[in-house]
Amino acid sequence: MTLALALRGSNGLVLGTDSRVTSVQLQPNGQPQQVTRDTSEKFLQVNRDIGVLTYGLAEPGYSGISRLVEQAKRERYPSYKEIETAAQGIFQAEFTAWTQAQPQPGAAATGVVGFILAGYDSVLTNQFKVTSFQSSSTFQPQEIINPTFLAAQFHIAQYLSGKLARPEMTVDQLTQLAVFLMLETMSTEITVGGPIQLATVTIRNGFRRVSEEEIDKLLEICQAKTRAFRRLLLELYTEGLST
Amino acid sequence: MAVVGAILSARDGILVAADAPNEASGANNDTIQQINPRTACYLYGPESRPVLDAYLAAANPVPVGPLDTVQSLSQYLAAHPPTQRVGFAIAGLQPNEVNAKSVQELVWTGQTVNLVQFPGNLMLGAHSVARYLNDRMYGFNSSLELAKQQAAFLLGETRVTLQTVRPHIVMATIDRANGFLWVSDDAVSQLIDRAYERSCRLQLRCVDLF
Repeated sequence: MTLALALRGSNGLVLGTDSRVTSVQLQPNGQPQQVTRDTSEKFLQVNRDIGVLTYGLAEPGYSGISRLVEQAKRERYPSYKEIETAAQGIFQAEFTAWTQAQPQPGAAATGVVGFILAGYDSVLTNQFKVTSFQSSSTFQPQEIINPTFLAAQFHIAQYLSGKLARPEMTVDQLTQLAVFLMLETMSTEITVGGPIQLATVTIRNGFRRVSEEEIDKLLEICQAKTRAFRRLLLELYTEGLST
Repeated sequence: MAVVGAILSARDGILVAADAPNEASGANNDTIQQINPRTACYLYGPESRPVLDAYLAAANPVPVGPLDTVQSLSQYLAAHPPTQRVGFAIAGLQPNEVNAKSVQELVWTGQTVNLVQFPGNLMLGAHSVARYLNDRMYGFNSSLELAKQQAAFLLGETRVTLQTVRPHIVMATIDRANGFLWVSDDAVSQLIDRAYERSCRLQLRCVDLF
């Protein structure tokens, strides 16, 4: 699993994922064992203003985003809409090819993989756009209008963003929030972990990956936020003690 | 429909709580069942109930404490393998042992019986949010009264995120003086209101965090 997120602020978008891949391997005694690696690349830049990220099954996910990037470069799609249309066909084709290569294609077809396409549509609408594609709905594009979109192992992050996110937040504030959501989810869910991958999309800078150094600084900022939030929870608890 | 539950150990007993439809009341619920005067069982899924009922009908005599129940149910499942995967979380107080609380999970995987012992608190079902909050807020040394408030808060906050979680809550306590007791509907309603108030207070205090 993964935590994948797209947060919409007053001046742009923040996209993020973790980098953990979880698989099941058979031990010598025949018992299945969960194995994790923190090396997965889950999002890529499509063009100046648009990025794509994936969650769920690692293999068709990565091949889907790689092929979209290659095709978008080759075809020079002029608008978000055209990339969105191409993405649906590519994701479906990659998923079908992957399922057919599996020992049990029928069972593999029930696997979950999803994609988030997000960026600034500078041609048709002049708006920041977020689109979700999921294997469970044959990768039909679903436009996301909510300020917060979270996928895969989303429950804790959704709970926290419900408490903490506000529509007027800026991209700078949202990058901090994204790191906080990742950290808090990682602290509870073992299938979410590893280095955090983040990017922002603004009108001025387009799609920009947040560097490792910047993420290190955000992690330090978030330590204080984590402490403050835990203090709030404990205050609530101790108020129960005194009544 | 999602189901979420919590078993919380307190210094004076154990609390078992689960979400429920609005019409549920005490024993009239689909998730928690009393096994004996000191033991409760949380059922993992509707298919677990007929298996438990068949076990209780066959058990002679019905075990008196949670450890005996787990052992006897485990043997029953091995001897009468269910056709589907079923699971039970069994919590209670051991008779004749002061402060001996027991929380164990028993799952029939389709081939074997898996038994896991928990130190006292166990989040059940769609438990991510409840587990996240409980790990940060709750220990093992509070009173049963506080455990009730905590369980109502955990289940209410889970419902904020998973709107398929059912709106009502059923709760039962097990303590040494009274044994197994359902928490009354009026008391549960007050706990739900109070949990909502705590949730709003938390939201208010979070405004300046980012």
